[in-house]
Amino acid sequence: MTPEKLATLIDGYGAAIEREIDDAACERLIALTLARARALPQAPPPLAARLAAGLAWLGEAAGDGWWRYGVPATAALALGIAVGHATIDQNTSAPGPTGVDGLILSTHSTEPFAL
Amino acid sequence: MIGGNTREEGSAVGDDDRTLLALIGRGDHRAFQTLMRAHMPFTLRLAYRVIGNRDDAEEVAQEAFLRVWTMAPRWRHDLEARFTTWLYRVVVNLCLDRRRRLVPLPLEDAGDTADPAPDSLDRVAADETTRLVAHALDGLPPRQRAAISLCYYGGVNGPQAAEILEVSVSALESLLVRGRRALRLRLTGLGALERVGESQ
Repeated sequence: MTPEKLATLIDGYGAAIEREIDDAACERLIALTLARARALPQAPPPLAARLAAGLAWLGEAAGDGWWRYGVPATAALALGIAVGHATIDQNTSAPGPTGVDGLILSTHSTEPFAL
Repeated sequence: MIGGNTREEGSAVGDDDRTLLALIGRGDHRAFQTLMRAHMPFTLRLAYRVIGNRDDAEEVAQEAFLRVWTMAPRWRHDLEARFTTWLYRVVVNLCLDRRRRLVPLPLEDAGDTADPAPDSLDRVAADETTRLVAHALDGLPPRQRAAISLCYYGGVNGPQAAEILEVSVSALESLLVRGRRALRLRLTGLGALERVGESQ
């Protein structure tokens, strides 16, 4: 069997798979995977990243008015972000506990931390 | 058409994998969806080629992307690691793990490739050839099959394929040479050579 004929056979197999794995199959799998991911907690970021996030959030807190809850509470929240017990919800920009469903706070919450 | 350049509506055009991973690491589901839309087709096809079974391939692709989701916060953005190299390595390793647990089917039990196109003699002949190639690939040692699956269908160059399989480029070439030789023997034994001759 020549290399060309072998390549033709292998190409034909690949083309059959491409026909079978079409856009609809991929979209269905993406939806399934996304649904599973929503129920799956993420690994905590490395310590350095958490520290940077905590410090960055602390820096922004003043501008967002979080200081009105008091320096100790805000500092505690920043510390919580740094050590991985709190995270910032990307949909609300508000901090909340990591991996606990339903306890992520909205920006309008009167209770900014639930550590 | 879903493909390498497809991006979700509303996302910034030109978002690269690194940017998306940073967003995913902060829990952004939309970024995760965008990343999957960009890479799911090749990932799923690669898994299918390596494992030879659609259901298992879908499980592997899901598992690989769920690892992306869980590990994204720990992605080392300071390294020059290429996301696709990591992803395809996960896919290949998951496939190899699954294949170790699978019992090979006899040729008579190998399923036909689903195809919605109307049947014709050419179509049937092509499907039969595809089935023979699938069966021949199924009999290859797993790493030879993975090397062929990575290198024969575009999307991955030689050095990247070697990195995915965690071997040197020369070791990859050796895998390919041995894989092609074994495949040629198996295809000749199965009569696929004559089928190619008939269709040409």
